[in-house]
Amino acid sequence: MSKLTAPKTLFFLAALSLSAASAATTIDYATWDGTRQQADEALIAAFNKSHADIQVKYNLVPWGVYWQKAAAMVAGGSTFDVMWMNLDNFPFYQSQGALAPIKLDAKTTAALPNVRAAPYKVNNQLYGVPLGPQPVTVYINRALFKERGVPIPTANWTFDQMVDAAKKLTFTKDGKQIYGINGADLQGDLEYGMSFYYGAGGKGLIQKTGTGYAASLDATFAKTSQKLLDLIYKDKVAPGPQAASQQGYQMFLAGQMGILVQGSWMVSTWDQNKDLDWAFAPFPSVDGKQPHPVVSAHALVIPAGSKNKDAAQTLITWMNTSPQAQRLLAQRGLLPTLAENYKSQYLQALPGRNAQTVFSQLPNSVVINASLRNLKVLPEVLTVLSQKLNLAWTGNATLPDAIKQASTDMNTLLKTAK
Amino acid sequence: MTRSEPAPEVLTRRDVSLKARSQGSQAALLGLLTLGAVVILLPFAWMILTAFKTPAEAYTWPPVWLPAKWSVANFTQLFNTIPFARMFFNSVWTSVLIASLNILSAAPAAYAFARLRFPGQGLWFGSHLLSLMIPWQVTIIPVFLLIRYLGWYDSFTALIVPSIASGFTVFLLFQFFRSLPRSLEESVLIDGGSWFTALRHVALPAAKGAIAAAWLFSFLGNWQSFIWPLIVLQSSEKMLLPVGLLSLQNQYSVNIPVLMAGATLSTLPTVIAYMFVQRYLTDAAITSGLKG
Repeated sequence: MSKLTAPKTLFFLAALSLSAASAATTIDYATWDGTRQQADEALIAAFNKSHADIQVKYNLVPWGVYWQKAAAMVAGGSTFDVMWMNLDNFPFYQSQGALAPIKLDAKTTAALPNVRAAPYKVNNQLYGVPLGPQPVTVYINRALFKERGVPIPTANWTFDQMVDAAKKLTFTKDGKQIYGINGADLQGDLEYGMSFYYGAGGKGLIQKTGTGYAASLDATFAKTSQKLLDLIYKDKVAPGPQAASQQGYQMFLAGQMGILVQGSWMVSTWDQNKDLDWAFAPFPSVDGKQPHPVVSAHALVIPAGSKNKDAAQTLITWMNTSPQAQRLLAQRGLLPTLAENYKSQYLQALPGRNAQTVFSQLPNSVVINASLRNLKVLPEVLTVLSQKLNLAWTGNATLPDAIKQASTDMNTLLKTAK
Repeated sequence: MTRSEPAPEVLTRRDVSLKARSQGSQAALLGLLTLGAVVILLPFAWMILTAFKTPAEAYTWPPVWLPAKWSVANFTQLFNTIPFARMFFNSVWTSVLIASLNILSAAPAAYAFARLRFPGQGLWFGSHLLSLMIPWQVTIIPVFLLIRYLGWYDSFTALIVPSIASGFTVFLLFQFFRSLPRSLEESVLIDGGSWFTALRHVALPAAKGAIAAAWLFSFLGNWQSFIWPLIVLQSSEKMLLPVGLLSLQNQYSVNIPVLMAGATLSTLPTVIAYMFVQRYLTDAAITSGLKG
């Protein structure tokens, strides 16, 4: 029997590793979020290293064309294996049978935060595993606060205090208009505006009535919307649609806005301007009530057409629940799926930004239209509402008229819904 | 010797009026053209200037034209954010190849339509024209399904092969070949040459300008192509520039200065290509078929 010499051993090992590599299943991972590309690629590299039998390929599909590409691929029968999904598009893809059910073990299922996982369940079957929470939050420009002598908001910040601060932060500097707060994107029916509505005690803009549904643009909605609209037209502390062509976040980024109500996902955007002295601020309470800012969560789904569903499920489970992946995300200033368990890593990644505020508001956050996600006409109803409210926000209708028109049109659509 | 003085030009009031009117209309025309040029050039100037601004300058309102301090940080960030060099390379080689293959396939076809008589000629030529009239959106799904059937999905073959044949290029070259004097080719044919010899040694050299223009049109079309590469290419390493640049735009925000840096760099090949063949594009003999 011949001896196993060193070169032979090396050759043997190389052949073994080659055969292992060739046996690995390759799966395609698709996302639209280029801002976390480096984090995703680091996650995938770690996963590939720890799972010799699966190789994941990263695919970035720009947001502007993501859904067209997804629809074309589903129609054409070729698909990614793991895809990013959002709450708005989930009902359509799920109802079309384009998504495969995801079966997790009991321990993993129990670990998932129910408030963010529930919207991706249909008939108690999970079709998407939520990524990290994306709460609506408040950002402040601390340099402007200091310059205008405005106290930094504390935990009991109220809506009225916010308006007072915004008034002091609205001024002209070096020929440039500085605004106190964003306004055009605080339209009452959108997620930023709805955060104030839920905080004021709002229960939802569509209510179940016996066997059907009806619009519920009640007094709470009208009052909250009026407060937000007043920021532009009465208090004049926010730019209206005619005041500037820049969006709120762009003015904040340029240092021309003191307070910005936006989502936690904007953190990476602020990195563009290293001179921007930004921080999180508590969400203000409305009428002395507990704030309930909106939270959403994208999810990872497995298209029904995937030929590698088991490998896809392994990746999703690892990415959204494994300590290694969760820690890696939190250390990069991204909220992981089990965000509450990785608070210290997240706070360390964002030192001096008052990031604990995000965690303080998470327990009281609500998913917008959570109970209506499977209502088939929901997208059309919300579109009509948004169009009508926009008439008021652009100064083309009074708010009561816009709400009245929206209610009528919404009810027309909802009549057919079951 | 008496020097004969030229008779002084006597301008009538009508002549003076006509001359003034002519100068006035020329000035108005010049003004109009200048205005048009400014309208066209302003976005380009804005794009280039914004590429050198800080984010604070890029988003400030009212806008500032010139950056306070010129910085290449946006270009550095561009290369750090997306694989720009690879996308650029992919776009260059695929656009050059498709444009060149376009010419290779279209030139013989156009020449045959212009010079030969064969059964079904009108039908064949008509089908080329028809391909110009049918919106590409109509054919995109059947072509995609065919690509999938052939197993070409997510390959450069899927990008290149369907783009090789171009009715537009055939039509453009057809217009030029038709305008060539037949006597040039007849001498080749009388000497025993074939139509192919006439094409190779007479028509193609004479059509250099038209070919350059057709190549440029094809190159520009493919350089800007968005939907087809988006649909048939999936892998990040195969991404082309128009799709890649869009990835700088996120769901909620767009990094405008970095996007402008990418847009500035991506216009360079088109500007260079245009400068090389610009004189051919103004040749009435080449573009006559495209007007009216």
